[in-house]
Amino acid sequence: MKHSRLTALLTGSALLFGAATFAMADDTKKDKKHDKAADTTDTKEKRVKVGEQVPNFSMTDVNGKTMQFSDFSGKTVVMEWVNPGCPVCVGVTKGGLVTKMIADAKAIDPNVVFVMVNSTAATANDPKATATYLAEHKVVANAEVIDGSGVIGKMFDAKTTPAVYVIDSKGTLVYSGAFDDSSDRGSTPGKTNYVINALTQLKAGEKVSPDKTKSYGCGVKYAKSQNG
Amino acid sequence: MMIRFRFLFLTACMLGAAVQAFSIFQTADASIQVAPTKSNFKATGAAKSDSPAQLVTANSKTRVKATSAGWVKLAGGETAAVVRFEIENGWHMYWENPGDSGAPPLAQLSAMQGWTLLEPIFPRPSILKTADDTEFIYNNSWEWLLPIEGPAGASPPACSFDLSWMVCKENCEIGRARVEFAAAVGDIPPAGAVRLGRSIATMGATATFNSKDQAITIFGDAGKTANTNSKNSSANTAQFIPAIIPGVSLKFTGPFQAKLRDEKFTLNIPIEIQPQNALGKPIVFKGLFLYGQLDSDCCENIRLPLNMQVSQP
Repeated sequence: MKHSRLTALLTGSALLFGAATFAMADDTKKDKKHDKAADTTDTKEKRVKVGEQVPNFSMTDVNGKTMQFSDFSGKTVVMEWVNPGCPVCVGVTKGGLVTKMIADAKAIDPNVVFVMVNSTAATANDPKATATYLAEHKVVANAEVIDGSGVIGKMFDAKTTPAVYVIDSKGTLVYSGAFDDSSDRGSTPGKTNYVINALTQLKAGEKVSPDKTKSYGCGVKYAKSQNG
Repeated sequence: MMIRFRFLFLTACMLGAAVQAFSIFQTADASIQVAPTKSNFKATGAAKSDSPAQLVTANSKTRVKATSAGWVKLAGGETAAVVRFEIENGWHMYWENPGDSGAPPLAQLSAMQGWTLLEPIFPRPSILKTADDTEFIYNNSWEWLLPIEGPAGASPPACSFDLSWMVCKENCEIGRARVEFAAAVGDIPPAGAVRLGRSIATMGATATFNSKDQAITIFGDAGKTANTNSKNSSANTAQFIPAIIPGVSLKFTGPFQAKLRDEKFTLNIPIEIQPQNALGKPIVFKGLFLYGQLDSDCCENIRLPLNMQVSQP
């Protein structure tokens, strides 16, 4: 009897030990898998890609007013990343290319919405500077958004100023990238303004092409607290 | 579909003394005019003292000093003007693909009948990684080769280039300068590996495109890295940085790290071909295969036409 109890105890211990070892080994495998994934895949936040639906998000404008992306539901939305401290951004704005783009866009689609976003930490902390910058250059947008935390910028993976994003009336991102195909960083206008190109194609019911280009300009320097 | 490729330029990677001995071409006019630069400018690599070709330089408003550094002959026979940039400490300029942000310098040849500016040659850049971005940059000083093409057998006449560039630190500035070159006189020396800084041919790298897997595979001969300046373990590394490739989408900006196996570097880069974004041009996968880890190590130009049909914009 004593012997059988001892055997049962030993067997139970062995089973427990085996199970624990197996679980630990499995965890190690998972950790290794995780590490491998971290090495080879993008571990950053979910980013909206061309062809994907843009989720609703909150925005705060230069006056501190909060609004929702869904407020523009049913309309085509153009988002442009701006930075009053970026010479390339200032170049296209000062040169009248942005106001021309807005005017040309309204001629194609009177309901198109323009949202100017500043995610650059160094200048986003002064909303008035962004407002003044846009007003000085006669840029009239539906919203002038301050994104000091970088949440919106990172969602769109905005890397430069300027960079533009076109979202169709169904909420799908249909273009991301450069403002135009300027060969000299916007000092002289390119032959094709990609926003106007996209709006023209949307109006004609065509697929937007190109739907992704490489933007040029200053880097969006996000707030460090968001960098993880 | 398997496509093989070979490199663009010729000379082998001969870093070190042989190239150090390279002398700058003498020009006809040795007058020097150097405009004043910003007071906090720190020249980290003064132009070679034996260069009489420093004609016009400088931009007093930005962090960069641009000088002419003579003419060199490229492997293909073209003659290239050498522009030397010296950058204020802490600031940087950009490679032809700046990475996540930035913009490369631009050059325009002054109107000169019968002569045209070909595609500029950028040397191997440094890789700058931050929390949000990867950028391919130059700091301190670097040389930019501007090949020009003219009438057969003619030596380059006196000319000038209008340059503009973006230089960044926490913020960015745009700089401009006109750099003048005296007419080339006498024999023009070869560019040499250090000046080219890339396209160090005959290193043996090959690239193929596997259409089934939609991936580019690059093989490099690790034995050739004996020519690199990196020591020991760092010499046994290689990575690839892509140029701007309209019509090809990569998972990230790069660099893509190669694996070392049986004396071969192997690199597999998944790509997504997007003909609608090729802007009407042939799709060519291209970039630099970087041997070793030092900026002064060899690199090789990768160029692989993908022969895709692209729609006109």
